[in-house]
Amino acid sequence: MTQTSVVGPPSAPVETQDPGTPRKRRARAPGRLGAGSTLGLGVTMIWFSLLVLIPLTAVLASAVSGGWSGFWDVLTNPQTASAIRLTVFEAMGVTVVNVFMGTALAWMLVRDRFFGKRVLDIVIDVPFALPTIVAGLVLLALYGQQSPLGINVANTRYAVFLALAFVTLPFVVRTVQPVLESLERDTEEAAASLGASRLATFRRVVLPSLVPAIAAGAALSFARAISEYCSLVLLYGNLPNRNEVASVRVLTYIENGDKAAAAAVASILLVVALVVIVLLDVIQRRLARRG
Amino acid sequence: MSIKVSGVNKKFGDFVALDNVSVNLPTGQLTALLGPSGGGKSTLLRIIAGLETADSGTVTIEGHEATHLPPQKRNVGFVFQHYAAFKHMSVAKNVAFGLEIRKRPKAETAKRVAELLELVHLSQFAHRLPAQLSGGQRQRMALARALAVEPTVLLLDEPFGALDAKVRKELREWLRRLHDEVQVTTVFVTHDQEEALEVADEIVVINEGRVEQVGTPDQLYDEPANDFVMSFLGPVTTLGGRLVRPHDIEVFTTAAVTGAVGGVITRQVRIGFEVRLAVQLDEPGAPEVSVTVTRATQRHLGLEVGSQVWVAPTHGAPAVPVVTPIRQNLTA
Repeated sequence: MTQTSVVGPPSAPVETQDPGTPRKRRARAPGRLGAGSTLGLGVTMIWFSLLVLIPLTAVLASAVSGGWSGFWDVLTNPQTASAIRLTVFEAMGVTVVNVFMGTALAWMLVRDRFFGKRVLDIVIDVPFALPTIVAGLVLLALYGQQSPLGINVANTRYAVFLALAFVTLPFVVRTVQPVLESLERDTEEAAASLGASRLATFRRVVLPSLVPAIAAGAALSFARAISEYCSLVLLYGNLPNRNEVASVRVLTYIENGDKAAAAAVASILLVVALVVIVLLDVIQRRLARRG
Repeated sequence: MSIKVSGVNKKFGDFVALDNVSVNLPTGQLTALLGPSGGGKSTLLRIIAGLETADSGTVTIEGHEATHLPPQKRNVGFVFQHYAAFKHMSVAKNVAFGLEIRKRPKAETAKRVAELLELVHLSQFAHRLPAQLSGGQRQRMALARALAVEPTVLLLDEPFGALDAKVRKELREWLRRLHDEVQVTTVFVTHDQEEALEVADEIVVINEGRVEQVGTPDQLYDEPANDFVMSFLGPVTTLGGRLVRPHDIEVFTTAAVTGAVGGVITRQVRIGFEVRLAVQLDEPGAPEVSVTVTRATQRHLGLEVGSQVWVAPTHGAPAVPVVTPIRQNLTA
């Protein structure tokens, strides 16, 4: 032990590693993979291409098969534009609600003790497990013309919102829950003993750890919401310009034999989904870094 | 008295964690709460910090009634066994946390953080994340974070428990010197008697929710209050119905000494400079006695397995009557 100061540093060599030198690691030169990795990469890429890349490219290709003007015409069609707008706004709204309600639900399930907690924990997944047409049916029975609760939202935008909220409920809950469970309580206790109120502790210590999970749940929830179809067909009442959603619009185009138009709408949904997912990731990285 | 705990009881369901515990911990000292796992020492520390509430009893810190104060209002620094680092914040941000919560001016906070990082020798790591530090460094960061708010008392819950033996030894020496420099009333929990004996000014031995003995390391070692304290502070063996430390037993090769009991060496293990012997007494039904002698003594007396020997406690060696059957550590 050095005697240079009253409180000398513990002199373990590992302890006082120079911050500038990263630990050396045995690794292959970048870009070179072993035989096993090459095979793995090949198999997964072929699988991914067959399932995702090729069909998506086909959608994009057929969207512009009628030329850019055809593409543009489809999108500027007032009914289609209104459907896309409605879909995107509703999906965003539902996602925002899910971010708050889903986190609150996850918090309750992990941190609180109450009667029926186990049951609730299981029931959360039901909207996910149910065929979504059944979800539509249930919602119609409860909030339709014959609503026992006296709430009739059938054929309105609220119906769309309700249906989307119903089918996307589990996403944020199920992504946040395991993270919340694995959080060490002593960091919260440390914050408390340093003087942080419960709110400050949540905002500055707990939330940054949850943000990646919340963002992942939000991305799933948004993606699911803009593509939802089955649970909506019973509730929306097919009122163009009022509560018609994009997926229904796609179906209409297909039924009318206009595949290029259907593909055009689909590709717009694709781009929106991509933009939102990337955006959520960027926000998540920002928030998780800030304390 | 800096911290005064009176008549504290705490139960977790049916389990009695603390049973009418009263202790006074003096200002400016380094006190160890020593005892076996599950004995209640961490619970006591957490009650002092306000992280746990006592079922009954009172806690006063520096003369202020603190029994019902939330942890935020107690002005204690708490260091956890597993560091409790804020993982998403840099080392400097971790240390600054308490000051930012208190809304200190930025310049003042930055200055204080720099000072503390200097004190715990982490200045060059200020912008790293906790995950990029070793265990020992993380614990020093946690210590700096706790000291940042200038706490009335510093509480450490098994602070070196998660570290490997070498780092643990270095850190406890360092803690001792840090305490001499900072002079804040410090209480730390440990189950390692060597750690307590080496570092603490005063030791409180806690077992099964009760205080067994309070005293300086010397008092505890030389005048253990009972068989528990004696056996917890190091290996013990039974000789003549009393607990004695194996190195406090003398070995003779003749029966010349009065009070010495005859027996035969049944096992012998050498660890470096010391030799541990197991002696089966001639007296039927008597338990095996473990004796520790130096390598030199063993060679001098020509001790080996099967040798006939006579053993007796050395003059003035601490010994306590065997009250309860205790865990005998025959190989130790």
